[in-house]
Amino acid sequence: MKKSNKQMIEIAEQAKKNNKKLTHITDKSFLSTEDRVKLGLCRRFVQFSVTKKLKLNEIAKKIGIPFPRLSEIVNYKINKFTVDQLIKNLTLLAEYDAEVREYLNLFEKIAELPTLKVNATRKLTKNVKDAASQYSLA
Amino acid sequence: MFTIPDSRDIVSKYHKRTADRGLVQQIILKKPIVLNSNTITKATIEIDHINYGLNKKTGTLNKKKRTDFSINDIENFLALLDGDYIFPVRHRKRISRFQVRIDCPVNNKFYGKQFIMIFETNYDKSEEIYTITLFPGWQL
Repeated sequence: MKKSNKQMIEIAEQAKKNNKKLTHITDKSFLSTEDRVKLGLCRRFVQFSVTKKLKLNEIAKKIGIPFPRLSEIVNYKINKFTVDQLIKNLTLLAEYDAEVREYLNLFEKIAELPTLKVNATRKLTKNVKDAASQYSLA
Repeated sequence: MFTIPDSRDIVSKYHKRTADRGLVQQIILKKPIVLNSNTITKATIEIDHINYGLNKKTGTLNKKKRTDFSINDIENFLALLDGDYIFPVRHRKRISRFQVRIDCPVNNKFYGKQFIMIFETNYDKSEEIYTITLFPGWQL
């Protein structure tokens, strides 16, 4: 990570040029439910790419999504997509990854749940969160 | 010219004479962050580079401050990354470089304004994050 000042200036200039394409990190507590769902779906693409150490063009080729669209997904340009478009794209990815497949399965099961009493739903949400954090630490 | 170090857990502090970017501090994060499934506990922050910026013509630190962030403020920025998965803009050898637009979480200092943060992680030192720079993004 030792870089000369000249290299640092070049890196900063490159970031300035790509300003609009960059991932936007913000306080997620202000986001709507729809946006949070979209972020969660986009996150699966980034997770897939990071864990499998695959480049975007490789993934794009594999699942047949145009590279610019995939780039927008991994940079969380959520305004450019609807939830159903993201699910459709994630279904394509699920063909190559068991984890994504099971994630979609869970997503489907949760969507199929009947409306429960508030306390029951809260308890269920807590259990899902706890289980998820336990598995992510394991 | 140089920023006065904060009174907190600073693992090491040194002037990088070779690159001359002023004070570089390595800190232990008060609260570890999880980025791309890696738990990050340490951060190396080029605090003078962040606050002064580099002059495009001379390549040295500017004389006038552009921001006045402390190490704690930068830690607040880093805390926003917690739990996220971010796609690196570049991956070379063991180093991944990230460039993000990030909303300033620091009260009374550009709160809510957009900054560009550039940082790197090393595959072999997954507990560490190296903050290259952070500069105002709304002037671009």
